[in-house]
Amino acid sequence: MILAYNFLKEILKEYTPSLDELTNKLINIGFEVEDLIKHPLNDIITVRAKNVEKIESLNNLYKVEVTDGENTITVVTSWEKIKIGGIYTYASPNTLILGKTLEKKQFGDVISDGMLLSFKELSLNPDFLSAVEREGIMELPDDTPIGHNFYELFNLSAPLLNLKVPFNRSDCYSFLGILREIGAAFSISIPQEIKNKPNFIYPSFNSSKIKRETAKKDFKGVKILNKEGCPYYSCTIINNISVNRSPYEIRKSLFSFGIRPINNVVDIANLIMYFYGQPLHTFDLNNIGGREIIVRTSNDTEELNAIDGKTYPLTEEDLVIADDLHPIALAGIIGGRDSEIKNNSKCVLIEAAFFNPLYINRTSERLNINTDASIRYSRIVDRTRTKELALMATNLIATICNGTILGEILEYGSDEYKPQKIDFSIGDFKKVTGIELSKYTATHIMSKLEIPFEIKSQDYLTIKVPPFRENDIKETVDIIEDILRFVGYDKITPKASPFYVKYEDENYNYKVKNKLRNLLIGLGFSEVVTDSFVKDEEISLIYGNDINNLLRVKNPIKSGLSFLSPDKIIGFFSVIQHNINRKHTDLKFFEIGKHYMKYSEEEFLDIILSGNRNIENWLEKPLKVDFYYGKGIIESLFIRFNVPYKEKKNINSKIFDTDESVDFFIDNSNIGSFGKVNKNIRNYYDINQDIFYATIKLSFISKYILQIPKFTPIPQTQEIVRDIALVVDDIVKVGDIIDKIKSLANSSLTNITLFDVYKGDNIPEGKKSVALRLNFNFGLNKTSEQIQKTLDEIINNVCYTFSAKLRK
Amino acid sequence: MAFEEEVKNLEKEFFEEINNVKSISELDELKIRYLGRKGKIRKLFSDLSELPLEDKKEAGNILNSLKNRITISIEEAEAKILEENKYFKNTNFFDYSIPGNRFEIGHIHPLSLIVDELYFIFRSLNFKIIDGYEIEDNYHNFEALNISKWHPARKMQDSFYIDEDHLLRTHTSPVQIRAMETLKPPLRVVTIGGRCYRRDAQDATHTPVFHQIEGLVVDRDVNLSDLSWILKEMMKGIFGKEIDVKFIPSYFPFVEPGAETLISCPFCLSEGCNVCSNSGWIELGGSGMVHPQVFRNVGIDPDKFKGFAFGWGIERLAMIKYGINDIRLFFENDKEFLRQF
Repeated sequence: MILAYNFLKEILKEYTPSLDELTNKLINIGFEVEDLIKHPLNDIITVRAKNVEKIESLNNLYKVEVTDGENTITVVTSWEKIKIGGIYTYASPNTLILGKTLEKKQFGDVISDGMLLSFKELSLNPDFLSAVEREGIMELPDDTPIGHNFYELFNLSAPLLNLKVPFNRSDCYSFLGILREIGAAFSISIPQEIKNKPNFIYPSFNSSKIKRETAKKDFKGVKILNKEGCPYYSCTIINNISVNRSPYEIRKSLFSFGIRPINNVVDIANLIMYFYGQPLHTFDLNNIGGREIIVRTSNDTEELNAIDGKTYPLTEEDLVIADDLHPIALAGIIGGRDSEIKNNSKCVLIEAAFFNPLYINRTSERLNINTDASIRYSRIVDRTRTKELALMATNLIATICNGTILGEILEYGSDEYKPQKIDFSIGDFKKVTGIELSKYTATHIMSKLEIPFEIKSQDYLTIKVPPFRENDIKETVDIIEDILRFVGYDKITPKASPFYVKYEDENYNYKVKNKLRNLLIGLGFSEVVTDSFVKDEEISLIYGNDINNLLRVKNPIKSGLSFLSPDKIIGFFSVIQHNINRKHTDLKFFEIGKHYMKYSEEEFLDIILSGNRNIENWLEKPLKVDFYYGKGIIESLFIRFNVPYKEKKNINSKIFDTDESVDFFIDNSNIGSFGKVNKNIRNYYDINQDIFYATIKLSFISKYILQIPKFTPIPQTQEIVRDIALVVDDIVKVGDIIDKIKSLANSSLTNITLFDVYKGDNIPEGKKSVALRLNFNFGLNKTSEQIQKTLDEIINNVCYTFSAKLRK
Repeated sequence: MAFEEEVKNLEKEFFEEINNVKSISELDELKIRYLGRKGKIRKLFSDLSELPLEDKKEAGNILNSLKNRITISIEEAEAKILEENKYFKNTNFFDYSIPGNRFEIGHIHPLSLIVDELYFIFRSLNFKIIDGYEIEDNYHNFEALNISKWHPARKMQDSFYIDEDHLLRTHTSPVQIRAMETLKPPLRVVTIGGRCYRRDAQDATHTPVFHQIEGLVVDRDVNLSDLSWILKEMMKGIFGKEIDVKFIPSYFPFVEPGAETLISCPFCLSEGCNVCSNSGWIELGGSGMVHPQVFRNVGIDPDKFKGFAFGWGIERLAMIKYGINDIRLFFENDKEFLRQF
């Protein structure tokens, strides 16, 4: 909503607050000033062209003599539509235009003493101008006074404030509404005639000049078929209008609101809307088929060619204004092209109605149309003023367009408004805000906001919600907020809250994450946060057509970005790519976050590693990350938290290399996997180094991480260490041997280390040597013979199970 | 077979030679002689082509095996020479200033750092820390919060829909709604770092994915003064000094009175700097007293209980605290960025 500071000055006169005061106050009562639109304050003068002559010696140039009322000045222009009697803007030499100083210039034998300006040279927002005006020299309405500063004449010498109106404040989508707020904020009385004097919009208005005829045009009337969507509809008809450019005074007001002038019919309708918040629509009655209007819902065979040049498909949800056959407007949103007012329109029908916001919102959202009308109707308009404003608009249009009003206003449905009553106790204010409030302050603010009330008792008021606040005042807290806005949010002072509630339990999920995070940074991994959205193309790279269980949004931010990632590998690849492009090739990252499936979201720890294990160092050569290095990290993590994991060959994975990957289990549940990312994926991202990825379901390991340690006495006896080397078939899995030894030795085995796997000299073809160090602690009660026997038994059993030979 | 013999001789010759190698330069020469482009191994490989087809494969295997053994021996010899040449073996001067064996320690993401701080602040303020789902239904994300189906505020929070009734939550407020549905008042709950989604175009201050902190207090006797105090404590905790909190009126359907929350700029102490665009104040996000309709929706009697709530982006706090000028940096995860935290 645009508020012109100069316009405000015209009304508030000497009571007008300074621009700074105004801006600050508006913010403090809930109207953010989104920006200040400022214009250059050059000395640009309005002039009339007295004489136009083509310069014979030069192509396409005209010598123009203009007058400011006193002096005659000669300028040269190339604008072919320049005409005698036209009013233009003129800048004299030495004026700064778009950063350049204007100079006298000679064209043939004519000296141009300054120049006529285009809208661009005037630094005007193109939105202020009609299409014709955007090209070439700016031509002003015929009745524009000459010899005046252009910016002052059009109220542009002071900034326009672009206000952000809160959603609930439908009344403030009008100048009058904002004015009411400013009045309350500064305790200024607003002149009452502003509310209903047409002279305020058009000072030359004279009601005695209005032409009326009782004769009815052949208009059959209005039928409201959907009363829920349209509780009230009124219309008036003006005949024999001449559609033209609006006069200067109207133009000036339009500029003050930042509205683009269109023609004298539409401009008036727009001004009434900006002034009072009531949208009006104007139809060319001669283009309304069957000379009747039907307010009804549409159906999906219909469409509307709207004035914005687009064609909108309609449904039975949409409320339309139709003629005998077709929709001619989307009610309260946008008009149709066929029935719009054109330069040759002769008879106008002015619509002023009350539409149900539900219908407006639903349709404007589905079709994504936001118009000045829909913004206001979607938030409820003040229906008690609809008729009055329709009449004001009719009188103004009839005067300005020189038309004849036919008959009386036609009304359908009901514009009745039943105000809601709200009880408000002064004491409630403190309960919500912590601020003391006096009855005087409360009633003063209510009066300024034109909210009627009755004093019930010392502490009690009954408030009658005025029609212009129907949308937002619904209960006591709304009154409290309104008073607080004017008492001042800055009066809220901090007060220590006593704790009435005690929570003993911690957030365990947070604790788990914190422990993992701290452990991983110690291991050299940095935490990353990746996007949940991944490209459809990336999904099909990994999951092919197997996408039915994946989570997908219906309306992605751009096409091809509809999936939420079922793993983190895709997000990680964008991190890898980014870093490798920046020449960081040693990468150790982790993320604790969600994986998404169609029916679930689950938290995972995901890890990625690639490049060198350690930073380059004079003591040891940097080694590349490989399968066993990465797996060791995951194992160490499990061991650290006593996770009783088992491993199996990874099968059927879409992410990993078929050989270099492993699945982790607890009992029969798959808790995660680790492995080398397969080449297909790597190649897709154009990455030339091996990438290792681990993914672990948090829910499976968190209970081990949270386990409270239980102390067991430290053994008093010495550990026994045995090294054994077994020669087994190459295909025997070392993991199986270790598991077997563990199960045979029970709790006496304190540690088992694989210290060598060897193949080559002295080992027969197809065999390997597996060297293990076993640490035992048998406690106090065993003799060395018994121990030896137990060890022998274990070794024999292992040898038997795996057809192994003990290597001496 | 002649070829096999040739291979054996070569092997013998190589191992004799390598035993006499004393320096890296000699080793390099040896390497070129055997493994180089015109080396002996390459020569034998080219001889392979002259063998009959049936012998080719086996001979190739033998040759490859030798090549591998030679490669390994050279590597081993190199390591041995390097070890022997090490500085310490040849000096009596102990140089304490040589950098030690350093390793890289990881970094916690700045968003997690803020989450950590908030966690401890709100634990100490006796809040219960709660989590929720990112996939929500319309009711909990909108309707229960007094945002009816066609409410214009829904446009403000343009959402990603999964189906008619499910969407990616646009804020963490549904977590508070569910808390009020299940826990009896009075209550003090907070969601820290919950991931939220809005269909905002990406720029320096917006990403479709972001994280929220959102707190809620419901009690018999709480008002905006209590909110103000809690927020001041929170800011003191994050910035390590007294920060002023102020409110300006703003509209959110689920709070009334509703406010935009501002803090005094922690960098210039409200003198005006580029972080606060010379205003001395920084906007954080929404707060206010819980709307009575929200209480009625979750079955809490608004005549008996009052409540306040506040919520904004973790990203916003991190940007202010660490002076980060572009929100996209959080999701880019550049090592140079992460290293700074």
